[in-house]
Amino acid sequence: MIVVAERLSQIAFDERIEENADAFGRSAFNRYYYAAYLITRDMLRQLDPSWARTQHGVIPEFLTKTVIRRIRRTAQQQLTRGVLSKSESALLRDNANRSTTDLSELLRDAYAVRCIADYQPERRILRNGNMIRLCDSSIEAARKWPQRAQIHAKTLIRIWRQLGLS
Amino acid sequence: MDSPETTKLWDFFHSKRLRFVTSVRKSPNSDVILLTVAEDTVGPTVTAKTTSRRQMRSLTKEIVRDLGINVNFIISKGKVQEEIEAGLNALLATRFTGQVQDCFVSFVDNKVVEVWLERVANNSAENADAITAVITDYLKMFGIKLEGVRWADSGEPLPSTVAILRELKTIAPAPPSELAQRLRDRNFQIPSVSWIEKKLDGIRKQKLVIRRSDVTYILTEEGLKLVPSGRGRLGSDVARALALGRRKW
Repeated sequence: MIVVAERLSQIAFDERIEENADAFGRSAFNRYYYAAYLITRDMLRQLDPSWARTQHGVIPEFLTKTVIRRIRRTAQQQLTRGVLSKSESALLRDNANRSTTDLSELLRDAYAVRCIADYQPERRILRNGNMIRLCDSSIEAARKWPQRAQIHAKTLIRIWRQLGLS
Repeated sequence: MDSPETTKLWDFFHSKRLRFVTSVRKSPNSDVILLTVAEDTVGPTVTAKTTSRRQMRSLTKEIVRDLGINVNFIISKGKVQEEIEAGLNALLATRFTGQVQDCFVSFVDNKVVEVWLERVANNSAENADAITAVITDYLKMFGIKLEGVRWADSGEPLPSTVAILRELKTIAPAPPSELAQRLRDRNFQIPSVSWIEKKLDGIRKQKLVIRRSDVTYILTEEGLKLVPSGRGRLGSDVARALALGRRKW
């Protein structure tokens, strides 16, 4: 998915005809979003198989509510039973909060850009030198969506395993 | 007197004309056989008289597969290694009080080591560079180069108590070596079998596991209560049932 997005953005850079550049450019945004989404979905599947089919639109809230609730509750239980120290529990919860919040915001923003790319053709891609933009988002920022999603996914899977949840 | 296992291992090495193993002995606390190799016979490549870390790794797998014996290669630095490790532990405990819980020195080759550090709390992250500098200077006095410092939370993490209990629940009763491998397969860092033995000893004192006379471990009722059962096929109860099924068939 990332390879496709890279290629599409390169074509958008090189394309001479504005209309074609617009079509390739918005598809690149779309693919970057899907790369981040699939990483997140795979993470959710690893956390709990019943979460594998969580819908795009609800994932951001799902992360900051359902996922974080399970982590907090389990960490609290283990703290109470003395197998997790206060500092370990605080660190796990802090990392989980940081990762779920950041991933949630990332997906929310990326999803909004992807919807514009797919459903609002009247909002055109802007090219300026080496820069491609769609509304407020640059293709450079979009390129980092999957990387950031990957970092947070790894963190959350690690926390999940440390808590013995999978 | 040699046990049947050690005899089998000596025969294995003779048949393959591998002469770098200097001693074969049973670990006092587990069913793992310790194979000692002198440090000056470990090199980057395999020759008639030397071995490499890669060859030792592949021999470990081959011995389990062909002879059904779990072995650990130990590169013998003798007392020097122990003293370096003890000295480093003392140094870090003094200079970075309350930050580094434990350290392990692992030789990459004769003059190069990796140091594994287990942090007490997150606050040592800000001192990571200072800690590395102190370790580097310390090792320099022995003419040893530091390959790298591995922190518990970088890359693959060291397993928490509950993570250890969860894997033990799946495969119990299990010896430390089997548990160590199981945890490695689950992407946890396990510095050595002795590390997991030490951990299990601590958990045993919390009355969460029992060490049986055959040196295998099982969970106590309290230990079982601590492991989240989870949901679906990833749940620990299902994992346990599947593991039992595999063991039976």
